[in-house]
Amino acid sequence: MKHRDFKVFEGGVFPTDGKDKEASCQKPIIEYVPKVVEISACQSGPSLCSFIVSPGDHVDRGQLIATPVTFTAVKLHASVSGTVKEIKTIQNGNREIPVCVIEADEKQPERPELPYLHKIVDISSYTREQIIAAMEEGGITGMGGAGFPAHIKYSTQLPIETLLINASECEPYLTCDHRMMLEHGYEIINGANAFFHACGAKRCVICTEENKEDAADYLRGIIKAAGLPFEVMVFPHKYPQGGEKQLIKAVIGKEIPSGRLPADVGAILSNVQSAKAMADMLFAGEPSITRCITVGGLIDQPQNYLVPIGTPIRELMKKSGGVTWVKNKIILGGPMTGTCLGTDIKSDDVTASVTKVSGGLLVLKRHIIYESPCIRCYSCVNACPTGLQPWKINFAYTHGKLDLCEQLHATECIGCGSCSFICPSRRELTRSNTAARDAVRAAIRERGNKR
Amino acid sequence: MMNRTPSPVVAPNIRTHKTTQAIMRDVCIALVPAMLYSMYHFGIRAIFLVLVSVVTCVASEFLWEKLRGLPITIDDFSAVVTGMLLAFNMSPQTPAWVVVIAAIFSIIVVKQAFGGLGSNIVNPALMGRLFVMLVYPSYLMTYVNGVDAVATTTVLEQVQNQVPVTYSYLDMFIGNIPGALGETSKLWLLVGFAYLAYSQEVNFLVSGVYIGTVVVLTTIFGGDPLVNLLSGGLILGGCFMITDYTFASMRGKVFMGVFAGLITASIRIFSFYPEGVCFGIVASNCLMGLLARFEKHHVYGIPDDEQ
Repeated sequence: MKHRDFKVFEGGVFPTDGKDKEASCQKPIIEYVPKVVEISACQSGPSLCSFIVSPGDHVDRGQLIATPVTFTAVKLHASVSGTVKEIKTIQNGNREIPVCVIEADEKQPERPELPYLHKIVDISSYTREQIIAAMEEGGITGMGGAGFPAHIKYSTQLPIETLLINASECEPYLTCDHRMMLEHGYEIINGANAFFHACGAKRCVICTEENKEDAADYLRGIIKAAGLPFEVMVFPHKYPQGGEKQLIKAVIGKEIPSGRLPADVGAILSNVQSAKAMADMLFAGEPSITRCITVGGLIDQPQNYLVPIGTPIRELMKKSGGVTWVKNKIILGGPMTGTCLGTDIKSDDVTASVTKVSGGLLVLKRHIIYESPCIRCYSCVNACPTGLQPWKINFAYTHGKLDLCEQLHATECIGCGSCSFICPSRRELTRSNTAARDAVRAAIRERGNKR
Repeated sequence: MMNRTPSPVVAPNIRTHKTTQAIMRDVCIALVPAMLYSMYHFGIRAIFLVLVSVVTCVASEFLWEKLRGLPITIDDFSAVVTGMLLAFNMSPQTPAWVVVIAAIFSIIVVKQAFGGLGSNIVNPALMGRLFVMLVYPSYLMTYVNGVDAVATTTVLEQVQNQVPVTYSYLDMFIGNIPGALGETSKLWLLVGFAYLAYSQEVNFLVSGVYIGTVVVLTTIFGGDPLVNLLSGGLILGGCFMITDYTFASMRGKVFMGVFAGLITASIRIFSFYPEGVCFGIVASNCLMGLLARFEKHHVYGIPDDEQ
C-alpha cells in the first residue's frame, strides 16, 4: 500500500532514476575488518577529540581512546583489538587532524549471541538517565551525516511528542540504511525503543521512502509481532526527503522556526544506524565502533560493508575491485552532499578513513564544469526545498551584498545541493548559497556580540 | 570556451544532463519541421532567409563578445534559436537586408546590450521583428501564399476587413495559407512543440493559458474560435516564444499568459493591426521583472509576516 496522502515538502529534485541503487541493494552486507584502522579525531564537521592512548599501547575493541574537545564531538573507542602504532597528523583543508593508527590483532574477539539480535527486549528496567548515560558512554552520534551527539539531543528539557527514525536515504547510490533495515531490523527496533524511552515521546515514526517498501514491510512485521506503538511511514522517493526539516514537516505538519531545534516543535530525529548503535551499546555494551557504508559508483563490485570506524578508504576500494573509470572523483558521503576526496584516483592514494557519519564511498565520473550565465529558468526556485531563491542569493553574494543575502533568508539554506543539481547553466549555486549562509550567520553572531 | 575557468569539484557531485546548450539545441530541433514545411510552401527563399537570419545573429553575437573581450558564448545555441524565430516571424518576401538589420538589432540592442543570454528583458526575436515592422512596414506587411509572388491578404486581414475567410480550417492547420515564414503550419509547429514537451523543456501552462485567453476573448467579441486559433502567429508565439524562460513561478506564468492573451486579443479585436501576438508577448515580458520583484516566497521556518 502506498502512502501518498502526506503533505510532503514542496520543491526537491529527482537526481537519478533509481537504478543506481540496484547495484548494491540486493547483495547482503559483508562484514570486513581491515588489518589497520586509522581513526580520525574529527568524526564530523568541526568536531574534534583528543586521544588518550599512546603508541605501543594495546587496546581492546570498544576501549575508550579519545575524549571530546569540542561541543559536537563524542567519545571515540577502539574499533578493533590491537596495538596503537602511531598517532599521526593529516592535513584536512586548513586544519591539522590527529589520526590514531591501530594495527589489528590476528584474532578479533567474537561477538556474543544476545537476545536483542532476534527479538524485542523489554527495556522498562532502564531509566531515561541510564539510556542517556549509555549514549554518552557509547559515543552515539547522528549517523545520517550531521553527527550531532545523541546524548545532547536527548537531554532536552522540552516536551517531545514525536520520535522520528530517519530511514529515508534519499541520496542516490546509497543503500546502506536499506540493507541495515533488512538485516538488522531487530537491533534497529530495539534501539528505536530505547530512543523512544529516552525522549518520552508519545509517537514513534520510522520514515522511509517507497523504494524501500520491502524493508518497511519487514519492520512493520517486527513491530506488529512485538506490539510496539510504532508506525512506519513510506514517503514518495524525492530528494531531499530525508532532510531533517523536510521530514519533520512531512510527519508532524509543523515547520521548525528559523534558528530553533526540532525539539522546539516537539520532535526528535535519529538515523536508523544510530538506533542500531544505541541497541549495541545498551544491550551488548559495544560502543559505536562500526557502521555500514555503501561502496558504489564506477567500481568493480558495488557493495555494502559493515566496517570498523577508521577503515581506510583505500582498503575498501581495493576490496571492491578497484575503480573502473580513469577520469573519476572519489566522494565520501552521498553524491549530493558528499565531499570530494580526490580526482583521477587510481587505487591507493586516498588518506581518508571511514567516520561515524560516512554513508557512502562513491566513484563518479569527473566532468569539467563551466559556469554559464543564468538564463532565468526558475528551476532552482522550484527545486529549493526551503523556498529560497538560490539565483538571487548567488548574485547578491558574488556582488558582496551580505545584507541582501540576509533579507533573502540565506541563513535557512540546508545545503542539500538541489539548486546546483538542477541548474542548466551549471552555476555553483549550492556553493555560493552555503557560503552566504555561513557569512550571514557569522555577521549575525558578530552583531550579537557587539550588543 | 577556452577563456573560461572550470568550476572546482564541489557538491553536489552529480548534475542534471539538461544544460542550457541542450535546451537551446532541442528548441532548434523542434523548429526544424516547421522550417522544412515553409521551404515546401514558400520555396527555397524561406530557407535562405532562415540562414541569413541565423548567420547574422551568430556573427553579431560573436563580434560583440570578441570586441568587448567577453567569453564567446555562441556555442550555447541561443543565437541560433533567436535567428530561427526571427526568420519565422518575417514575411517570406522580406528582402534579406531587412532580415540582417532585424537580426543585428535583436542580438546587439535587445540581447547583448542588456547583458547577454538570460539578462535580456524581452524576447530578442520578437523585438527585432517589431523594430523592422515599425521601420519598414511595407516589407513586413506584404504576404503571399505559396511560391507565386502575388500579394494576398492573410486570414486575419480578411477577418479585420470583414470579408469572408477564403481558406478552410484544414488549410489553416496544415499551413496552406499566406502568413509569416514559419507561422503558417500549425501541424508542424505542434509536432515540434510535442518534441519539446517530450523532453520536458517547456511549460505547458503558460502556452495553454495564453492561447486559451486569446481564443476565449476573441470568441466573446464575436470571432470564430478556430480561425483565431489557427491563423496568425498564435501557435508559434504560444508554443515557442512565450515559453521562453522568464523568471516566473507557476502563478507568475499564469499571470503572464493571461496578460499576454489580453493584449493580443485586444489588438486583434480593436486595433488597426490584424495581428497582436508580437505585442502581447513583448508587453508581458516587460512586466515579468516587476512581478519577480514583488512576488512573495514562503521560506521554511520563517513566519509569513516576516518574509
